[in-house]
Amino acid sequence: MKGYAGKFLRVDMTTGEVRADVLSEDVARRFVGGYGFVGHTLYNEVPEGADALSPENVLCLWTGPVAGTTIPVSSKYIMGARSPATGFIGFGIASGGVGSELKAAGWDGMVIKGKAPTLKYLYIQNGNVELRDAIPYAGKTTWETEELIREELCDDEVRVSSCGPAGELMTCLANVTNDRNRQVGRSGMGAVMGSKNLKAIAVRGTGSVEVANLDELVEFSRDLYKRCRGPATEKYRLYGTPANVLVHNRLGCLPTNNFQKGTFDHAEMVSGERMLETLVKKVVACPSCPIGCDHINVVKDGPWAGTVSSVDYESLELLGPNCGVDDLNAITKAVELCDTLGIDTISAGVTISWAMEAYEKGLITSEDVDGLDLRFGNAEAMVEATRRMCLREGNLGALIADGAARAAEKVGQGSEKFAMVNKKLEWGAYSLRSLQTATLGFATSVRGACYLRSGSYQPDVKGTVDRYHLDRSRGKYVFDGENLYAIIDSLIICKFTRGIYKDNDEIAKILRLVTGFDITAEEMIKTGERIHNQAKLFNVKFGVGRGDDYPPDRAFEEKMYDDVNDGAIIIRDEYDEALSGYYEERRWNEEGIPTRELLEDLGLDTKLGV
Amino acid sequence: MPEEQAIKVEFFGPFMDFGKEAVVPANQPVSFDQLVAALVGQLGEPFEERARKSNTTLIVNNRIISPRRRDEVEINPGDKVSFALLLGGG
Repeated sequence: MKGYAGKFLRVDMTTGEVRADVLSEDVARRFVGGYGFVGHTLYNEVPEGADALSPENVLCLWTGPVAGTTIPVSSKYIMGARSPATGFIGFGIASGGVGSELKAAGWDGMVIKGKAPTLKYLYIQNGNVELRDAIPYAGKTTWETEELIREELCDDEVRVSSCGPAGELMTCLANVTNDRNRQVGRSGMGAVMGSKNLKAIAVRGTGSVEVANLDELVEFSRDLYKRCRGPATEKYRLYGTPANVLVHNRLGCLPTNNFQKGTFDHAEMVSGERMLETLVKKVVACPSCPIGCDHINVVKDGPWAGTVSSVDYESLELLGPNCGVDDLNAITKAVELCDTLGIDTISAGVTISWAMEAYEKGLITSEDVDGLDLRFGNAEAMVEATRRMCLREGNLGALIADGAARAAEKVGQGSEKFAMVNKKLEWGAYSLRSLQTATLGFATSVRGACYLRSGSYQPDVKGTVDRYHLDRSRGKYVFDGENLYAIIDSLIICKFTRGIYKDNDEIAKILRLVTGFDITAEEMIKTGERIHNQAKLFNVKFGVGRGDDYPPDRAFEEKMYDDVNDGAIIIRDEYDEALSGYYEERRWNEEGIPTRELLEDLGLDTKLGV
Repeated sequence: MPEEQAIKVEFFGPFMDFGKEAVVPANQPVSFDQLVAALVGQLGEPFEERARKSNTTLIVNNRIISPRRRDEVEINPGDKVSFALLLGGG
C-alpha cells in the first residue's frame, strides 16, 4: 500500500505487551486515515458502556496518508478516545512534527488499551518500541517532560507528546502537548492518557514514506507551496488567527463576558495587530509548512515577565474578552499555564467566564472561589483561576476543573443556563446569536460545540445567508462542510490551507498521487460522509439523541444587546426547523439517528440504524 | 463634516499601514470602485493594489459583503465601512 506504513502498534498498558498489527487496505480505502481511522477504531474497539477513564477505554493515535510526504502542512496527527468530557467521541488534531515522525518510524498509528501499574512512557525508535519508566516525570509540566525525555534518550530530535499534571489528575479537560506549543486540545485526551498511566509518547523515525506517483506529487507540491505563500493564507502568516479579534468585534460576534455580548469595548487592547506589535517575538512553522502561523509571545515586564506562549484566536478570545480581560500579558500567562500544566485553553476560558458570571450573580461565594475577586475583567484573578483549575487546587479548582457543565451541575440555581456548552464541551469563540448557521454546525458536531468540524461560520461571515436567522436550508451548509472537513481531517492536511485548493478534485488528486487509489472528487466526498457517519455511530452507541444537538439556553432565552446587536436571539422554532433540515440532509431520523438504508449505502454497520 | 455627507472608513490588519481610519466625503451613494478611488486619492497608489487583492474583506455597516457582490454594492453617505483580511477559522 502506498502512502501508508501498512502497520500500526497495539499497546496493552496493563501487561506491557507491544505488538505490530496490519492496516488493511480495505480500511484505508474506506476511512482514508486520521479522523476516519479514529471513528473506525473507537466504534469497533471501545466496549459498550466503557467508562472514559477506565482501562477498557481505547486511546488511539493515527496519522493520515499524506504525513511524511511533500504535501505542505501534512505533519499532523490525531488522538482519539471516548471523551471523559462528553461521554461521546473525543479527539483532537495536533500540528507539529509528531505525525510525520511516526510515519518515518514506519507506523501509521497506535491503539492503546489497559492501564499500566506505574507511570510509563512509550518510546518508538523506528521498529524498536518499548514502554519505559516515567515515574521521574510524574507531576512534571509538558515542557519539562519533553526536555527531560530528550535528555534521557540523548536525542534532541525525538518528538514528544505528553500530558501535564492535569492529565495525571484525570481532569476532564486535560490536553496533550507536543513541540511545546502544539496541542491535542479538546475533549480530554490528556485525561485518558493519565487514566492509563501513560505520561508521554516519544517518537523518532528515520525512514521515508513511499508514494504512488512521486514525480507528479513533487510537481503538485511545488505548486501548492507557492499558493501557500499567496493571499489565501496571508492572515495566518502576518498575524496568526488573532487577526480575527477586531473583525469579529466589528461584526458583533466576539464573545464577551461569558457570551453575554458580541462586542468588547477594549477589543483593540487584545487585537492580533496589538499583539504583533507588542508581544510577538518569533514565528514558528510546522515541518513542511511554508505558512508559519504560530506566533510566539514573550512577556517583557510586569508580574508575568518571562512568560512565553503561543496565543491563537480561540485562546486569546476566551481567556480575554470572554472573561472581560483586556491584558495581553495576562492572557499570554494563562495560555502558558494551560499548555504546560495541561488543560485546553478553550474549555478553560469558557469555564472561568462561567465562574465569573456565577460569582457576580452571587451564586457562588467568596469561599467557593478561595477569596479571589473573580469579577469580569480582573486579569490577576483569571490567571490564578486558570492555575487552580489546572491543578484542581482549593475550592475553586475542585469546582471548575472538570468544566463549566459539571461545575454548573454542582452549583445549580439556574447557572446551568449560562454554562456555554454543547454535549458538556465548552463553546468555541464565536457568538451564538449573531452567527446562527455556525451555531447549528457547532451544536450538531459529533465532538460537541466544535468550530472545526464544518466551517459552518463561513456562510454567516461571508454574507451568504442572514446570520441572524435560521431556516431549514442551513443544514446543507453544515452537511457539505462536514463531509469535506472529514476528508481534510483524515488525510490529515492543515485547514489553514483549505483556501489554496481550487476545488475538491485537487484534494482528491492528493489522495490519488499519494495512495494510488483511483478516486474522484465525488467518491471522496462520499467517503467523507461515511467517515462522519462512523463517528456519529460511536455517539449513537453511547446514547446520543436530538437533545444533545442544541446550543445552551442563553441562545434562546436572552436577547443580546451591544454596539452591533440590537436584541439578537435564536428563535427556538427556527432552530428546530434548521435541525430537522440538517437531519433530513444527512438521512437521519428526527432523533438524529442514521437510517439503516443510509448505513447500508455507506457500507457501515447497520446494527444501530433505524 | 456632517456624518450624512461622509463615509467613515476603518482599517484592520495590513490595511492599518494606511492609518486607522479615513473619512470620504460623499453626498450620494458610491460604488466599491469609487470608494477605492477616493481612498487612493487620500492614501496613495499602494492602497489600490492592497484593496483589490482577492483576500480583502469589505464590511459595510457590520455586514460582510461577499466578494462576488462587491461590484454591486452601493455605499451610502453615513455608512461605516471596514477593510480587513479574509476571515477564516481560528
